[in-house]
Amino acid sequence: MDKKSSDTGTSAFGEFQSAFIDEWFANLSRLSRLPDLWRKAQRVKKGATPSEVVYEEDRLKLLKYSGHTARRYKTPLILVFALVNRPYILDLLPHKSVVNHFVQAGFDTYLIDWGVPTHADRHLTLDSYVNGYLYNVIEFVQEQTGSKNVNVLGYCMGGTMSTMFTALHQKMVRNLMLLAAGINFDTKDGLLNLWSDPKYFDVDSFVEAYGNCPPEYLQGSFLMLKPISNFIEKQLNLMEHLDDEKFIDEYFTMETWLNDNIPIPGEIYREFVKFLYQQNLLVKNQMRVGRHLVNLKNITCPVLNIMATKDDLVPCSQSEPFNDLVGSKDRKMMKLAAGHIGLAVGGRAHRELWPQASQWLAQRSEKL
Amino acid sequence: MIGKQDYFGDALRYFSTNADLLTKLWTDVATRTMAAWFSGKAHVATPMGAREMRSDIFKAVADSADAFMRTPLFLEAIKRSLNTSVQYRRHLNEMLSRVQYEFQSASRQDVDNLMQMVNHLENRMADDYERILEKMDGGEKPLPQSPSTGDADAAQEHIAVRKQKKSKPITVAVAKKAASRGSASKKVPGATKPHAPVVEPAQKTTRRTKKSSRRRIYRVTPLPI
Repeated sequence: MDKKSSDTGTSAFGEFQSAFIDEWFANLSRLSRLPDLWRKAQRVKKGATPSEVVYEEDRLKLLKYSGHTARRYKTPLILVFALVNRPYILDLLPHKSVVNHFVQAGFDTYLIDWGVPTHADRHLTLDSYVNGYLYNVIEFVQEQTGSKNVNVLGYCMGGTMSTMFTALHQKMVRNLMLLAAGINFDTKDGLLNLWSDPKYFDVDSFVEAYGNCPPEYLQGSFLMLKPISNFIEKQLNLMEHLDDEKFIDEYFTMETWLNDNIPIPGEIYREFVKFLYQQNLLVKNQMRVGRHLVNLKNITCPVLNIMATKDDLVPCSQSEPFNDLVGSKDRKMMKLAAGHIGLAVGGRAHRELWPQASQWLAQRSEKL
Repeated sequence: MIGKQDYFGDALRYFSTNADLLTKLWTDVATRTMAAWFSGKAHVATPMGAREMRSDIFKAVADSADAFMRTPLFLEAIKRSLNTSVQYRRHLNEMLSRVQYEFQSASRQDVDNLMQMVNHLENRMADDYERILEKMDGGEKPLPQSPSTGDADAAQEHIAVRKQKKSKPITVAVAKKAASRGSASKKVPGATKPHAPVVEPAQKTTRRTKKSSRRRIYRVTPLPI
């Protein structure tokens, strides 16, 4: 061994020793924060922007958000969330709030909280939600604001339902924004599409046995989409950032939402799996909502289709075809390098995506 | 063991026959992990370097896991586990229903059946209502034209006759029809606001009968803006 390589080896070993000791003390400091974690986990606040319930129907609640900015647009905006999880992900933290972007832009902003279905709600179908609840909510908002039509932003499953609603009631919708909405389910990119293959998943017997789709089952499926990240990396990441106050606050807010799962009414779950995931009827214009066929060509309003390139739940290939299937001439697609939830809470989404989306909507809404 | 099938034994047999696939999977994971380990970052002695290497290893394992979760072996395994869980749930439901039946109390199944019946009734009523509206729109004779008074007066006359028969849905339908003919600006006395929008037959949509539990909270004071 020559002298030069011996020196390099000694210096690398010294560097390693020094880093090891530093990391050891850092870990001790992090561990001292552990007892405080429980208190922080209990302190999590749900929702950042001031709101009030303006309409209720069965378990549904319609929240109206208020801000310091004066209303600038006559056309209100209604955010339609999925039936899975709670909708406060769209208003998680003051600096990570989709709702806040639109409130600050001067829109009358409403958010639909579908509520937690009980076993008595297992018979609720897409018809009950799309032509029942959603229709009533939009009609109520029209009455309240005096606007002839509304802007709709649908997220995930809420996006699919908003699409159906717009196709059936085009006159009531002025602009349609979709956020990671599943439209074309004939794709093998997503694991959920594979797992719900009729060869492997008998949704009928599942719904017959369980009634509503249990939240634990949904949560388990979502976690299994990225097992290494969800079960190992996330915990390690938490350990390494125990001394970072901001990280801890955001972590617990996010975890509270992720674990705040709710069941999906059995019948609507059956319809979604059977008619969309397994038969892909929506893009074939053969999807029935109640007695009525959903024809995507009936959508003629401006559409903005937003998707995330790293989305495991709704891959881009599920959302992309939408723009070619509608009858609209004014259609735009936006892609962000983020995950499914990152679209709503990611730093990049709030820096780049939402200001643009808000501007797109402002240009197409009726001004006061 | 649930029912007559030996699910556990079946699963074991299934995995033993797919040993080749499992071996391939583990070899794959090991190869990818080693590749990440020897990717050139292993000599970095700082915590950041170690983290990067760890992240590469996790990525390799995650890719393998993703590939595995797409294999028929895994799909068959989740199918089996779901079937077992559904069977178990069914047996549990049956057993509990039987116990409740013996105690002469209502079981969840009874409530389910009742709810289903109410839902069917609701759907049938909504469908009937819609069919009547369709009949009114398509099959009914056109309203008499009166040059002196116009459509609205004719509609009012028509409504008055209908009102005598105490037929509320028809009243609404006629009012809607009159409104759609362009006389909407003149208010038709006695007619309530039509619930469903007037749309072309191809786009006709149902609006479900409002539930009795429906309640609206109207704000009294304006929102602070």
